[in-house]
Amino acid sequence: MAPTIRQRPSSSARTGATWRYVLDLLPAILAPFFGIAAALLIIVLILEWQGADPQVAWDYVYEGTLESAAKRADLVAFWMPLAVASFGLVLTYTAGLWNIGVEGQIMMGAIGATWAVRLFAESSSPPLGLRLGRDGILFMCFVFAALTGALWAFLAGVLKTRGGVNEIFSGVALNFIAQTFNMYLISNGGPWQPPGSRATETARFPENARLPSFEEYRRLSPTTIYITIGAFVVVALIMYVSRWGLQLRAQGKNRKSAFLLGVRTDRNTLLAMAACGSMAGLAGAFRVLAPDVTKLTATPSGGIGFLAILVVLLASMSAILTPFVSFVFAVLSKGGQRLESGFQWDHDLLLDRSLVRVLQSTIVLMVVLAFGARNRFFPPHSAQPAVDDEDVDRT
Amino acid sequence: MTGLESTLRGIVRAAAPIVIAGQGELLTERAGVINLSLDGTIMLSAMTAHVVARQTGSLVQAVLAAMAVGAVVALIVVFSSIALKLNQVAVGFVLTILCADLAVFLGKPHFNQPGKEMPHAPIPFLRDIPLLGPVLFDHNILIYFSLLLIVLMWFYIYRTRPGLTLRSIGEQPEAAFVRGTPVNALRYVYVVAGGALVGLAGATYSLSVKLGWKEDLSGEGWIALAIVIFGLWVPARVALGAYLIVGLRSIAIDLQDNDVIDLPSQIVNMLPWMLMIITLLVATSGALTRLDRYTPERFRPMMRRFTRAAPPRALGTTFEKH
Repeated sequence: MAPTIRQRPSSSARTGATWRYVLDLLPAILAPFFGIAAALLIIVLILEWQGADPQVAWDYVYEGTLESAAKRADLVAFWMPLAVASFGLVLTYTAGLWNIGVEGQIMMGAIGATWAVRLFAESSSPPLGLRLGRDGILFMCFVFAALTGALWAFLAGVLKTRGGVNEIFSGVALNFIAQTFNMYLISNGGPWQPPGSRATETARFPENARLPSFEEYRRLSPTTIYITIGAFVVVALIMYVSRWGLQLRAQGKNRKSAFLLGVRTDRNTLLAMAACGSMAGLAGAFRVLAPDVTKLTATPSGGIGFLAILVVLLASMSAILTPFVSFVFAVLSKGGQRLESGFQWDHDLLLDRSLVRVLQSTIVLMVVLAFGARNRFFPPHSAQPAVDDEDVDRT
Repeated sequence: MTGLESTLRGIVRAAAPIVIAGQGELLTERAGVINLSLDGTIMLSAMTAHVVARQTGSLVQAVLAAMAVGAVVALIVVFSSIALKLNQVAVGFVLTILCADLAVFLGKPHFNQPGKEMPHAPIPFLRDIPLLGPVLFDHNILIYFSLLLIVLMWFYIYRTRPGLTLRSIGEQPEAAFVRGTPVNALRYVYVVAGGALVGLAGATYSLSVKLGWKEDLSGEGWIALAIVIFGLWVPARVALGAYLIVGLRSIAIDLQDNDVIDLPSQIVNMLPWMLMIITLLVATSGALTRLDRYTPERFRPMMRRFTRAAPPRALGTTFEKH
């Protein structure tokens, strides 16, 4: 099927162009709609098969997340780290970098934040004799978390640019290494496990290393909200205003052409990875410093790294859509806990909370497939002909 | 049985699923398609085999069901790539997560339940050969298949005409098409066949290597994907990579019980993953070609044959008739 090059419409053909634009818009709007509908249908079928009423299931999800102000506060507390990790991933995925190592970067961020707590809050002789107050300690926590997360991502970046190792594989390996390192620190008499303890976690952080929380909602900290908004602004500026965002886009579409046009692809790869890693690190810090956690546990990330990848794929790397998609996913994740306990207590039905994770990945798969079907069967009229490598200088 | 024999025997056994999955992915990638869903597929098919074996009591049905699961997942990957022109990596990754979650959800009632095991079937006479006998011929049928598969794959890819066609659709699909090869149809066939092998690998876990369903299979599929690169898309080297990784893992487990070297067990657990990064680094960074310079003139052709590293040229691309 040869790509047909369409003439630019003259002014007399403008109504035709408008009509074509509407015709293009329709499948573009309908594609995600059909995708989500298909995913919901699959989940409804699974629920019916398990003997659960879908309406009741949704009621539990709603009850567990949105019904009361306290629940909404918990939801936001879960949403913030997920959102901040997703913002970071927007940068790497736009640049065509499959940063699967984000899970490990979140863990390293959590470890970095805990390290800062140990250095500045728990130690009797802090480095450089710095005796910081609460704000200073928390600031150091976030700096340490961002740096360790960035370092872990940078490592994957260097392996890619210098060693030619695909970031997917180095990411997977670094995830497992980060997880094992975390376990080493906090289990079986590891250096960070309190003496005499058998639990795989550190001691609770001291009072002056806990995030301030809202008066009425003890589990939600305003600090995480401010930082997340800040991260969103930074990523939105990069993506929509800066030249660098344009370079990342070009690199993501065609790395070779971008390089030939003078984009420093290797440097951008390292920078994008490090930027994403630092935001993932912040997400890790949110998780350990959360007012109801304040300790390093065996699973500091709780799987939000992979969830964030699904978010970015579903939002098709749009910085504007990411907060909304991550919110919906946060509702589903949080609602899953209530779903499981609700069916178990009220209906004596074993319905594992992993069902909501099935729903999340099914939605992403179906929407991706729906967009594929739309491009295949309703190709956009205004689509430009594919640009081959030889034609690059034309653009 | 001596210590060495039992160690090697354990490695052959424990590496069998990774060998089978690696050969399956090799078949897929040789046809020019990346199926990134291995990790989830192995979990889902392992769970399926365990549940089917428990409920029907038939091991044959269990193995077939697991293979069907692998084939269906692979079919989604190849369909979305060829018919819908979607990014194979994106679809594969989403499928990996979906299958892993589905396995956890559907397998919950069967979690940690006693499972059925493939009957032990030592081969008479052959098992009495010193060293080789206990290592290679004292297993069950799935383990034998993993060994046989290495030879079969080598023979098929390098010594038969369909194997030549397979290589051509992964290297030069346009040229193959001009010669009348139905490129896309064959890609469907090979990707689905490769997926079925991945499903078989899952069944090998739950019916033989890690009996039952325990949700701890995460990571195995990624190792299988990595050893295909490490093995430079050659059946024997892919298998070698599997034995190397599993061998290292068993050394790591032995080290934990060792009183002389007191390594924290978690540090030891990191070793296979570090090895994975290092081997990929060696395979892809061009270090091997530099090695060429230091090889004596006489051994250079042999060395080059062994270290030639090139993925199938059309890997990950879609083929379109013009």
